Parts: sequence; structure tokens; C-alpha cells
Amino acid sequence: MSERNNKERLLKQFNFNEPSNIFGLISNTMFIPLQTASETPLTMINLDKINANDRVLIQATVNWIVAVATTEIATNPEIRFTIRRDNPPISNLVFTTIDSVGTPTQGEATTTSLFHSEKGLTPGGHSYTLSAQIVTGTDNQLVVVGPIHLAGSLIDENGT
Amino acid sequence: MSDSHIKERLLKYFNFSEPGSMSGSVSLPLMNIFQSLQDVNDIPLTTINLEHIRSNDRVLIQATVGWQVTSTANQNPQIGFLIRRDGPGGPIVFISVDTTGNTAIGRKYTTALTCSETGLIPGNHSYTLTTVVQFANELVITGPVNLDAWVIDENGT
Repeated sequence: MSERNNKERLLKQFNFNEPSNIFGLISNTMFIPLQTASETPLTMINLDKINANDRVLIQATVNWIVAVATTEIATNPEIRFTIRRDNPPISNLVFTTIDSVGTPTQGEATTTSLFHSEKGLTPGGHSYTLSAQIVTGTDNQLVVVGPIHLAGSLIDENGT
Repeated sequence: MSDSHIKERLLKYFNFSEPGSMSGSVSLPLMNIFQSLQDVNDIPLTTINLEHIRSNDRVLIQATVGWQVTSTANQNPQIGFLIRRDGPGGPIVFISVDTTGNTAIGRKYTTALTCSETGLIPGNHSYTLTTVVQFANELVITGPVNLDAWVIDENGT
């Protein structure tokens, strides 16, 4: 007990949002067609009381499918996931990653997981929004079906 | 400094299981066929135990699995990964599905997933990572297999 004051205790805050937890084609709970011209928000989380030296770790997992018939797929479609801080769709873009399917077939499902870290934030509360957009392909060609999971951890500076 | 004793300390418990840490360290042919949510027929890959969970705690689960294509009988076979609570037959916490982009024999893939839940019955719970495939004898788990979980206290404690 006497050494408790010396123990590291870095995880200060944790929040998650999981609007869907079961693959959508068997749970029939979610079907979000994506567009080429705009980002579609999937879910968001809030973290508050952030200090300038804190680190934020964002973790996400999304399932998406190829929705149109194989014969209608001219090229291998690509999907871009974005993390934006505070007020999407125009505000701080902090992370993007692009995923694709090799030889797409209709109904083919892909799991994409991503991890993002950042620090040096303006102290206070911040929100993080996960969005998706088609970057190669046509509107509605790719669909987010769930699960969707977004988690944020607020981590103190080391040595505190 | 004076408030150091009231600092947040949310990470209460951590556990992991990693039966294989490298590609090729595991060889598990997958025979089980993906039917429906009512007939999942999934097989366990590894299990972890978490203790002293309270109802307001949050559990964050992370997993990474390496797998490989061993047949070209069907194009782009799908593979599902499940998280179940309290045993291989327990409630399904999460299902994520991935697919081969190309069915060339020997092609290797990595699937990573994260999920969270809260509102658990207080006490100890186990989490099991399981897998299920769309077609028998087309995919094999080759490793790595990693499953880990954090038990996180409610915020503001």
C-alpha cells in the first residue's frame, strides 16, 4: 500500500461507441452505402479534460462489403477511413487510411482495423469522428454493414 | 503535485493469450461451415480470463490472427472471427468477417479486430476468440494468434 503513490496510472479516460457488434449480413442491423463525393460519418466519441501533454489513442474496427454484382465492378474499389477531431466534415483531419479488395465479388466482406495516436492538443474536450468514403469506384458500390467500433483512450504523460 | 493521489487510474486488469506469435507458428485447418447466426459452429482459438469486473467497468478486447488460403475450390472464401463471453458456447459479443482478395494458394492475410462492452454481471468473465469459415478445407489458421483485453474502470474514479 505504501508504494501506491509511486505507481504509474496513465490511463485517465476511456470511451467507446459500438453502434453495431455483429456482422451486418447475418444480423441485418446496419446497411450504410458509401459515396465518392462525401464522407459518411459512422460513429463518434468524446474525450474531455485533456491536458496538453496527454496522449490520445484511437482504435476502430469496421466491416464493409462489395454491394454490387461482380459483373458491374470495373475496377477494384477502394475505401478510405478518416478520423476527424471536433467538428466534421470540415475540421481537423487527423488520420486517413485506405483499404481495398483484391478481386471483388458481390457480398464480399472485409474487416478493417485502424489505430491512431496524437498529442499536443488544445486542452479541454475533443470529439473524434470515424467516417468512410469511396475513393476508387462508384457511389453505393461499397457498404458499411457493421460491426462498427470506435474507442478512445486518454493517456497521461509518462513518469507521472 | 498535491492532487497526485486522486489521479485517474482506470486500467484495472489486463490479460492476454498468444498461442502463436509468428506466421507459421500455428496450423489449424478450418472445416467448420458458416451457416447463420443461429448455427455458427465456430471453433475456439484461444481464451483469456478477466477478474473482479464491476457492472460499470468497460472491457476492451483486441485480437490479431494470421490465416492462409489452401484451396481454390471457391472464389474469395470468407472467414469470420467471433468473441464469445464465458466459454466457447457463451453469448456472442462480436462477429467480424474478412475475405481473401485473391484465392491463390498460399496467399496470407492478417485480420485485426477491436471491440468493447460494458454492463456486465459483476465478477469474473472469460473471453474466447473463435473462428468460422464459409467453405470447409479452404483456409487455415497459420498464426499469429493474439487475444488481449483491458478492464477499465468508469471515468472519473
